[in-house]
Amino acid sequence: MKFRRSKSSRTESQASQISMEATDWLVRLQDTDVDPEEPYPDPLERQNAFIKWLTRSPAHVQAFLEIMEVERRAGHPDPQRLIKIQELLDASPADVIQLFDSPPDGDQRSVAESATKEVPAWRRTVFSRKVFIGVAAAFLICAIAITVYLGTLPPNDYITGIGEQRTCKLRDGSVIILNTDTEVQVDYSKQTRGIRLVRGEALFMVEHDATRPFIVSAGNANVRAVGTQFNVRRREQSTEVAVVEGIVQVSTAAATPLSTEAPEHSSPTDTPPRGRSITSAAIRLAAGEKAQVSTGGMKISASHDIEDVLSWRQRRLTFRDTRLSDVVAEFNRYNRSQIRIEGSAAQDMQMTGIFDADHPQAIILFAQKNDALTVAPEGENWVIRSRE
Amino acid sequence: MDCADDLVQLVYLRLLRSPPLALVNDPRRFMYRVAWNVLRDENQRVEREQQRAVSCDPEMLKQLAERLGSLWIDDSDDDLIREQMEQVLRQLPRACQVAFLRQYRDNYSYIEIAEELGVTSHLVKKYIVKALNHFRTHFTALDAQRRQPGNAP
Repeated sequence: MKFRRSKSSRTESQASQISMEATDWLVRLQDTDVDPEEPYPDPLERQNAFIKWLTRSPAHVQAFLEIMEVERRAGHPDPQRLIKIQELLDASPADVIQLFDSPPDGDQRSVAESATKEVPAWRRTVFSRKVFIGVAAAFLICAIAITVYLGTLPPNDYITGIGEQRTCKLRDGSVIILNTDTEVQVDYSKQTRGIRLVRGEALFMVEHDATRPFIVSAGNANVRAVGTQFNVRRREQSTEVAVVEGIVQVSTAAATPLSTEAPEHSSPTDTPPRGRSITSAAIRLAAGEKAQVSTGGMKISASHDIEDVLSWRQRRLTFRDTRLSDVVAEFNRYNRSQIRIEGSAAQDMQMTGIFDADHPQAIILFAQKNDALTVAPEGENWVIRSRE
Repeated sequence: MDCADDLVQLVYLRLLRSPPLALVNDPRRFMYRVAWNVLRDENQRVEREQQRAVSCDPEMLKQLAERLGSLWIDDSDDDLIREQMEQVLRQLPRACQVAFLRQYRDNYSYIEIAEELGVTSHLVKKYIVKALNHFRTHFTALDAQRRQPGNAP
């Protein structure tokens, strides 16, 4: 899209101010998590503020359309993945290490170079002494905080309610992202980093530490990692582990002394695992592989859809030839208003699609349009039935 | 008034008429949809009034519509443009390059990028803002160059 440039220099500088704001909004809206560093920590408030900003004038609309167009044109860099991130990282200490959290105006490299060239030595000394005192004070405060923290706190408990998602950074730098209706207990010791997934689903991004393995126990499964990324979902009768990056070791709870809890309640109705089934103690799972662990053993499968597994982080639900009853169960995880399905024909109906986790209306609409189904409200909830 | 300005006005009016407020889940996609609807309606209107004078050149409107229609498709298979883009990317500080590639090439989240770079996700956002602003400057210059007679590709 080409946009006419403004004529006078005054409106030009206004336009460029609005353009800068537009870029800012575009990037901030990408983040749909709660972010305490934001002027609007709550994503909903952020969106409302954005709409207010957008409707301020046509110039704002123009600037936003323009930056969306820039993003579209620039947004597929290096499709063959020829640029090696590691090389960029290795060559860039001056770019990455920042003393102050300031917007990187201008080329940082040249700023850094000119600083070392032009600033007289005495000023640099004063500067670094100030920094030193600041850093020392920060360390002291951290040390006190950590001591108090360790002394008073039991194992940390992180919980999300229905529809909530939450990102938690742990002491060692590992990050846990909790999906809806999830509880995670963190119990770090000198030897291990112990995590218990009490219920729900979480993505673990593990900071590398070869001396202290990171062990997630969930239902029947124990997942052991050193530094990697993996998703664990605890279901009623099984636990699913999907590896995004690196390798993890998965074992059944009964077969390992690492377990911090008794095996999950098992009923005789447990579905026997299909496909490659393993009952031995521990297996290694590599990136792109999934394991389903139940009392019957482990089922390993290659997963071509790791992206689908993680789509919950964008609050999207992805289904490929999924039974309607499973689709509805997914929606019910995210919403207080629940959908129930009656009749096996309706339950077994298959569907494919990507949905917004927060809008169960999409499923209701789908059912309303389908001649084989009827939909009826039931208080806050909905019932879908096969039309007989 | 040229066509792009018309589009902006129409989108703006539509936004004012039905302010979306809390209903928008993905404001960018929403904006595309509004712009797209405006263009579609305009196209229909142009088709209806084919013989009558309209403020927009229908051909240009069609081009805009095609552009908007292909928004979620990778159309960057032009080798020359891709090479240029990489040059523009390399003009940025390396941390910006990493942040931009991780976000747009590898679909990393801000938190993941922050982890990799060892900075806050707040700073990662600043890097990406910087990169996008840099690309905008480049595109503005590129488009101005193309508009000059004799320089059309």
